[in-house]
Amino acid sequence: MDDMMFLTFLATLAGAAWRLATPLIFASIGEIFSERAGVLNIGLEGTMLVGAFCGFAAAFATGSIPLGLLAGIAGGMLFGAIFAFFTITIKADQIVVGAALNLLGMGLTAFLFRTYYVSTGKGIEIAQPVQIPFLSDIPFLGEAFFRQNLIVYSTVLVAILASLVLFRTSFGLTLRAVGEHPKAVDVAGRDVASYRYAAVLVGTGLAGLGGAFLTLGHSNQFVEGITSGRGFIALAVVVFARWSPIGAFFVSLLFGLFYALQLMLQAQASIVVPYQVLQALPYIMTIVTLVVVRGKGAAPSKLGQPYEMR
Amino acid sequence: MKSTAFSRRSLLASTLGSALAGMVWLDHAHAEDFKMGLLVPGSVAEEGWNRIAYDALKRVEKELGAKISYVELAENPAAFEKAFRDYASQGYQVVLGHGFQFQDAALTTAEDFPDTVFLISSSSVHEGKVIGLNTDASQPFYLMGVIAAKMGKGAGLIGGMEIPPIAHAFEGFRKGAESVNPDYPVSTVFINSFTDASAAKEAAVSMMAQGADFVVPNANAAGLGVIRAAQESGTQSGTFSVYSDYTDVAPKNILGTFIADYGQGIVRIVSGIRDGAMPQSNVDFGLKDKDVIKFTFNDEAARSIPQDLRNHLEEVSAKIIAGEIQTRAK
Repeated sequence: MDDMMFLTFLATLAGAAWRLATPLIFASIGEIFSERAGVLNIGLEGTMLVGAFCGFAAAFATGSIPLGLLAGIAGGMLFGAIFAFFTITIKADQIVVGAALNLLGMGLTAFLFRTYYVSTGKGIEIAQPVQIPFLSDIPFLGEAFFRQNLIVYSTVLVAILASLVLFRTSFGLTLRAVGEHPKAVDVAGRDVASYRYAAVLVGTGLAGLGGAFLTLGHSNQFVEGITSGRGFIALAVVVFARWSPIGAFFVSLLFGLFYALQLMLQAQASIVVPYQVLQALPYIMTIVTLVVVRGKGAAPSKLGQPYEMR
Repeated sequence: MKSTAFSRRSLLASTLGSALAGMVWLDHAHAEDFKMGLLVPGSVAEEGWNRIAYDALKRVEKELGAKISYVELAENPAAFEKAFRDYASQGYQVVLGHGFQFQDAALTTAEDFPDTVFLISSSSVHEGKVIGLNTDASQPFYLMGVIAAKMGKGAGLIGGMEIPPIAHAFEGFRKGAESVNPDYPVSTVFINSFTDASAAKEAAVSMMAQGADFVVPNANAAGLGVIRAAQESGTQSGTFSVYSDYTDVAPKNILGTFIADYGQGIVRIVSGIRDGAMPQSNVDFGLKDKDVIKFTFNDEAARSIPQDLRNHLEEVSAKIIAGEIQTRAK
């Protein structure tokens, strides 16, 4: 590979990494809200699927991408409301409800898709890459970072906003307290359940948005099971990022980078490594990094535990 | 030990045989009926593999006036042989086991029921009346390889998983491309999923960034991502629609569509058996079976296949059908 080829390779890689990271960034930041308030929602995969389907259906009906994105968020939140009702109000086991919602999300979206949209090929117009004057024209760098669509760019904004809300507002402080010491919040006169509801709804709304990106910002079509395990990877991202939104942004990017890298390396005829090894690359990378950056866990102390008022 | 098992089996068979004789005698009026049974490994309610066989069975009922029956078996090999025996002992002339996993049970059952034909999908078996049926995707993919090498600079193949039907298809593509230009670059990526349209799309995007102007999917629904990638990259990128007609997604980029109507193949073979024409070997549906393997060209494409190349493809097809060109190692 000569130098020009190599630069093209890197630019394509960086662009692909960001696009592949986008759904992970939304979903993992959403999950951070939820977990910071002490609610472990493993139903991300199902929630993302619902978001992907609702986004597709709305955009298909109206032809509008913003409406599709809103529908994706709303679908995610509606799904999250079911989760919140069972785990916060009824105090059912969060793992069991989450697993049930994953199954429900897969089954429900597949059923609805087959019932209403099964004819193959009918797609929607997806969000187009936005050309930024000057920046998009920089050789290689422009290709890598400045020819994405608005949904991809918005991940930066979402990460910064999430961080500000969690760590710089009164709402964020109380939300985190609910995950660490709900009794103190209760004694201070604030309703633990309301904060947990809010956290779950913000989280599932973002997960729905992450799912909707797949159908509205990447593929122009809903495919059964299109999330393909991204909801579960997002759960790992949260732990890896130590429950920090900015951290989740970069960990997701790292994961996207390795995923894009393995796709590109497989296509290189000159590389003789078996493709199965390359496919395992993102997962090997995850394990290695977890070992390298190990340290004291930062998990919210009441994660996964329902709050019993006395 | 083996002899014990055998005597037990023959005892069982003779019991079944006498039961069968009794039934046939009692039910003499219907003895002439043509009956077909089907074993599927999962639910026929879903679109997909099991549904293909079910639809074919319904067509056998409608077009051939056959009596039909089917049974859904979960992945439970213990039940396979019993199901085969049930059908054979009731005088079914044809039983289709829809999947390679049914082959062993059919071979065992066939020893005791010489009057029943056992068809096995995705198999190349041929032992007595146990006959494998297969679609050979390497043949249409060989033609795609010829087209890509004649019209383009390089090709990228995006597969779901490296399972035999996909590996064979890609082998055919490479051979076709090599027949035109031995140095024509063909790269392959497996995304390890049949649902991840996003990964398929990114794989195609990266292949095109590295010089491929043909990207060809073979990954079920995830392949839509590849077609989408070709569509977004402009009219100079070509692709093919595989197993489903996705021409609406990228009418300018899809040069041809390959559809395998396996159900039609089943109906034809079964109607042959009813009329006394037993297949004399295992059945590999290929380009010679124009009712099963359909490879059509898209005239709306920006780089529609020129007429002289179409003529050439006709010649290549003829050679493949005649066996002069091997599209994959047997």
